[in-house]
Amino acid sequence: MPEKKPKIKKEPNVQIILPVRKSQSRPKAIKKPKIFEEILRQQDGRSRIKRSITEELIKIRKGEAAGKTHISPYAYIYADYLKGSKYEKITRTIENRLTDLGISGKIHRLSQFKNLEEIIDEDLRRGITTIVVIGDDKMARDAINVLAGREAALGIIPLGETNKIASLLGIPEGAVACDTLSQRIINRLDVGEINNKIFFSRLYINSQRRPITCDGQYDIFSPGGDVLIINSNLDPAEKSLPNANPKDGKFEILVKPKQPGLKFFGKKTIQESLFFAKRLKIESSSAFPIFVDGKKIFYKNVDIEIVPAALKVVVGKGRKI
Amino acid sequence: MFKKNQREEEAYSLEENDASSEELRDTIIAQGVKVEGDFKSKGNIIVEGQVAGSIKTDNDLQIGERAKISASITAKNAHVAGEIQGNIKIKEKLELSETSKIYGDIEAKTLIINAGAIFNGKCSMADENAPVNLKTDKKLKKEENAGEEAED
Repeated sequence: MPEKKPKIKKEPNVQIILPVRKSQSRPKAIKKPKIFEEILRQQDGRSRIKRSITEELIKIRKGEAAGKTHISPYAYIYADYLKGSKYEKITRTIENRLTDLGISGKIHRLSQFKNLEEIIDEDLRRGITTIVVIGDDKMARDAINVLAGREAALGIIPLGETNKIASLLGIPEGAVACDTLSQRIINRLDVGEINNKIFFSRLYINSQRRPITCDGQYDIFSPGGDVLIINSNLDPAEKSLPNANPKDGKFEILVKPKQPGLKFFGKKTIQESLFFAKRLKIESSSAFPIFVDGKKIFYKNVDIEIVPAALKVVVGKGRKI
Repeated sequence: MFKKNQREEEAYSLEENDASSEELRDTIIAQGVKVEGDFKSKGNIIVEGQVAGSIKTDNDLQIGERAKISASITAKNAHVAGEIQGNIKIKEKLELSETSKIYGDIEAKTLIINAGAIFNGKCSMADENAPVNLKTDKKLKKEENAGEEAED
């Protein structure tokens, strides 16, 4: 029987076990807050990472605004068509030459999704002072339209089929243009404005009969021939055109006769009129075409004005202006 | 940097020179072209067409045989072969060729009229001494008279 007693005694032990079981359940209850803490810690960590990233981004943006990220004052914009293998070799030599001369800078390549105006705006915001376009006349004209009236200078490295603007400015084609660029002879040139649209070279009006008001002082009545309003002459070799200087602050207005004139009693009569004016106005009841730098645009009422010294451009020693 | 700035300045100075020389280019009004209004220029003017209003230049004016002008004219020197209806004021020399027709007054320092030229109007030629002295004489007389009156 006494042996049985312990058995009975064991019962309370069994009862004691219960609290132990309870105690076993306690760590489970403690574990739950630990998991929350971990989650909280993890969340804290993530937020810290986020904070640090945003801080870094802010720093970068501030640096960009101050122009610290791009030390070079030059930016180079390549024309869209220079991507092909045809121009690969020459573009490499240009880049190498620029590096040798110490005037290398940020490079952009135009594409369907990259607008020239946006690129230039962004570069100017970053503190770049010289925008160099690598391409043909079209590329140079587009850059002139964007840079006219701004303080940044325009450089041209002519590559392509027609390079009349570069030729006028005395910039040789290809990698040799880098040397001209490094010499940094800057001229301020006039540009024309037709209804607030910039043009560099000239306006051409076919069979002009409407009166042209010059500087608000006098009207020119053309006999019905062609009229050219010239800021800069891209064909200096052409003798029929006057020597237009894009630094004189005036347009050269060439009024041609309706028909080529006949010799009058053996004497050669003057056939072409030449005027100089800063502001022109043409009013018409119907729309008429004007070729603005070779591009046909229809106008009804036209205000044409010269913007003196609006364009800062890098020129070469062999310039024809 | 200094060199760069110097180059830029050189380039800018070139611009100014070009602009000043550009002022002296000839303006041409060819046959068949008509100009109405006040036409001013610093350079020479050659007229073969028609002008109505006024012509003013600091330099020379050349009016061709077939030109028809109904305007007042001011120039330094002028050579006229066409028709002018209006007054002409020339600082230095005015030459009227045999084909010229002038309907208006002329004021010039030197006047050359070739045989065959038609001129209807008054002509006054600047005399360096006479007009200035006359004025001074008149002033002197007035002063004298005023002095005498005061004494009386």
